[in-house]
Amino acid sequence: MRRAAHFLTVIGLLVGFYLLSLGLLAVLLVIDVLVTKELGDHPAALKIMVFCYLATVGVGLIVYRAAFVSTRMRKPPGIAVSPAEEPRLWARVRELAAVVGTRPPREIRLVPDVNAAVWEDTKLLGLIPGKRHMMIGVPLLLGLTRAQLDSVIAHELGHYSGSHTRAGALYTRTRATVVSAKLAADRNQSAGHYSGAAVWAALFAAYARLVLSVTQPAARAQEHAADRVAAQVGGRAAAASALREIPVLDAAFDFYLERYVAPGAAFKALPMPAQVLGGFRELLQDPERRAELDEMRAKPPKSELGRFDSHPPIAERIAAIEALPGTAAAPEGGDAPALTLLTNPTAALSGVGARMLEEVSAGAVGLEWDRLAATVGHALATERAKVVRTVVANQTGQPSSLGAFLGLVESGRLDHVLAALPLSDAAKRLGATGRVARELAKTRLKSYLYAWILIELAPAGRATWKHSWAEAGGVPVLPDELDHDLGEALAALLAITPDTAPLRGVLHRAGVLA
Amino acid sequence: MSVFTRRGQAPAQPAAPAAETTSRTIEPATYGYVAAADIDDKNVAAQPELDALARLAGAGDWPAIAGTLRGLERTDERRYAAIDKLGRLAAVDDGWLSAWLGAEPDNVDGLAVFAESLVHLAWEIRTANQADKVSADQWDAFFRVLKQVPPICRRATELAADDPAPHIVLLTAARGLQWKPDEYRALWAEVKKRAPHSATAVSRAVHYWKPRWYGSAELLAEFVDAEVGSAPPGSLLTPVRLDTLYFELCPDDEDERDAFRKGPRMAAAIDEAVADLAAADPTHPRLPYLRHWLAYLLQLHKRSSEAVVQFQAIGGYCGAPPWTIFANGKAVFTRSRATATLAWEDAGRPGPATVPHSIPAGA
Repeated sequence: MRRAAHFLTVIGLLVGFYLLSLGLLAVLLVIDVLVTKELGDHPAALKIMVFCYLATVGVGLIVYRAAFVSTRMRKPPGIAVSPAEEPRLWARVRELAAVVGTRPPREIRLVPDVNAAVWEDTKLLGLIPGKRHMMIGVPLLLGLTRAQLDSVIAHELGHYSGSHTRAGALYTRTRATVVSAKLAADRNQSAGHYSGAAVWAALFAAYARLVLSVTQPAARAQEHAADRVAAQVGGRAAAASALREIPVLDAAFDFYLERYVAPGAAFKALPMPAQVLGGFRELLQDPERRAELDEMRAKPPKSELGRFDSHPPIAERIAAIEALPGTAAAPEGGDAPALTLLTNPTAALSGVGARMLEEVSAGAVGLEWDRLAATVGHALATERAKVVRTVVANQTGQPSSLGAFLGLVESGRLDHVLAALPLSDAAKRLGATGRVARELAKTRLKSYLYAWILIELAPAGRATWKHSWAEAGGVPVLPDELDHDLGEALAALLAITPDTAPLRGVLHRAGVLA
Repeated sequence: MSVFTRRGQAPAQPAAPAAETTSRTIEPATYGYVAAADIDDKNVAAQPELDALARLAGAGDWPAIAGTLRGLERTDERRYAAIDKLGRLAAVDDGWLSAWLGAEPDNVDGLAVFAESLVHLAWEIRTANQADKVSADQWDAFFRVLKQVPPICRRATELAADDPAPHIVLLTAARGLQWKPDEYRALWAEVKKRAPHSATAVSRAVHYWKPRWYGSAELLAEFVDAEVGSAPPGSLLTPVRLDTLYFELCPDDEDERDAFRKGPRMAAAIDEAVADLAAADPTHPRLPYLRHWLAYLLQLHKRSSEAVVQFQAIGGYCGAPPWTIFANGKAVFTRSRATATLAWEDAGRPGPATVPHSIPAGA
């Protein structure tokens, strides 16, 4: 009885949303008509009319977005793989669907996210089922075991099993509707194009809060129910460890994209399609990175859940899973890497990678990692060198050169150069002044100067950059002796009493200074 | 993602000792004390000689500074205190020091001050934060500055082989530069050859052997027993033992720690410290450090009349351990002082403490 009442409340809230929206639109339209008719000749007419029309358009857009929020995606991410292309993966998903007791999806997409999901193109507020899709994040295939992936997929399919399905669909739909209305209203407000944007944003936000808080317990209960399904299918241990592993993979994947893929995008230099995601697997296998990942597993990153995230906190979910009765063990073969589910992993990784490249940077060149490191390393060093080169050019009134820089130092103007550099974060944080500020500025200068010297050495092949998983963004490579001498020379230059002679010597011997 | 790890971090600030609930207070003037509001929590004691040096540095009068240092014996603790003070000043503004070394590049005192100033500058950059709160830029500058210290100390030693000061400066730099225990022991042997029982040297070296730097409880206890135990009374090394027992070698459990701090091992260390004080040169610059520790611990051990004597001798300063280690040092100081004084009153004012004659007793 109580459940039925709650169900009706939620239907009421959804219907209420449409009544609210349509009522609002109707009132605005009436005002538009009146304003147009009555104010025809008034001097301020045009201004007021435009104001009212814009308010109507603004609300209309918000309502449109909410009403037609579809679980269907206009441009779904990643690539679809057919049963012919990936028979093992399809077979496994179908088996899991059978165990869970729900229909298998009609489409499986591989996507470049640390995520897995099932969605349906439902009709009539989610009451009539439609085509079912599943997406599986490639990073999960690269980082999880088969048993862990089973539990993740079973969790997603679990959302479509059992008695809560229909109610769940309604709840999901209602939440999606009000949230997308709120987001559309927020966008209007920040864009500032439509009249009364702040008012609409507040109104739709308040309604969204009401709906979310009413449906929150049910949404979280659904997640727990799906976790129980996952534990039955993949075993308690795999289900719990997958939950532990996903935040780690998530952090690692963000790091990977940010440090290894994104830096080259600005210079139209990216990894080869198969390596865009394949590199993530190599990073996960790098010994130093593995040690760091182990550290993260021991100290899991705090997940920041919004107040209305449908998911309960991960620690709570793990505790609930571990408290379940029955077997903890994973099915046989569950320890194998999830990637072994793919029949043609190279094609899959290349396909998704190519898709990502199109999105990140059209027209970019795909490069092997070392070539990529050299290209990006040179480009970044050029940017870094520019900081000090600009200062030198400003202070000498001449094109910047290493010789001109050394001349500044020799004429006792190192402090002027240091003072002209942008403050480092450390100096800002400490509020550093005087000698402390000067020493921290020298640390910055060293990095800019080193970059400058590298790009001077690069044309003659005396310096380049090599790819390394342990050091993000590649490591500069130069002959050992030169590297050593350069280190000493920079130390002498940046000592309390600066000495330029060693650096002059090194640069002269390397052929980049007369 | 790579985590920059370095040893050495500030100890978690211990909570102030629990207040003994009492509504009674004392009138500081009655006992010749300085009122709470006038207590200086930055300095250990009045240091007119160091203040005079600061004025000379402020005036850029390096010849006078050089003259003052020249007038001190090589192994005089006052000389180490002066070098420390001048090093702190030069870490902020080294104009006078540059002028001095420009004129007298081979002045050993000047070189010692130069090295000391870089040690202070390096730590200003590093801050006393825990190692993981220090940024990569700070570490880079810290090491760059600190690495310049050993060559300066070597140069000074070439010029004056028997001078302990450059080695004493190096004790702190070597800790920052992560010297290995064997290297550190060799450095310590050089110090001992030149200054066998220097309170300044021991108080600097002891940090290296703490567990949060490169030592352990065992190595620390070993070092303290060896150095403090072998020093003749009056060397003023005993505050190092008191500090180590109180903060480092005490049990982790709160109740056990309390009992330990009030227990027989601490009592024996206090007796040793009282004898050290009695034998010391009253003008020794390290003497106020011992008084601060004794005042606090004598009160804790309910030796109130002796504690009152120490509080009276300390006057209006609490810028020294143990007070500086507590989150609110001045409050701990005045509370400890009041508690000792009230206990002394309750016991009928037994000797040796007295109430100053100029002020009517019991006012």
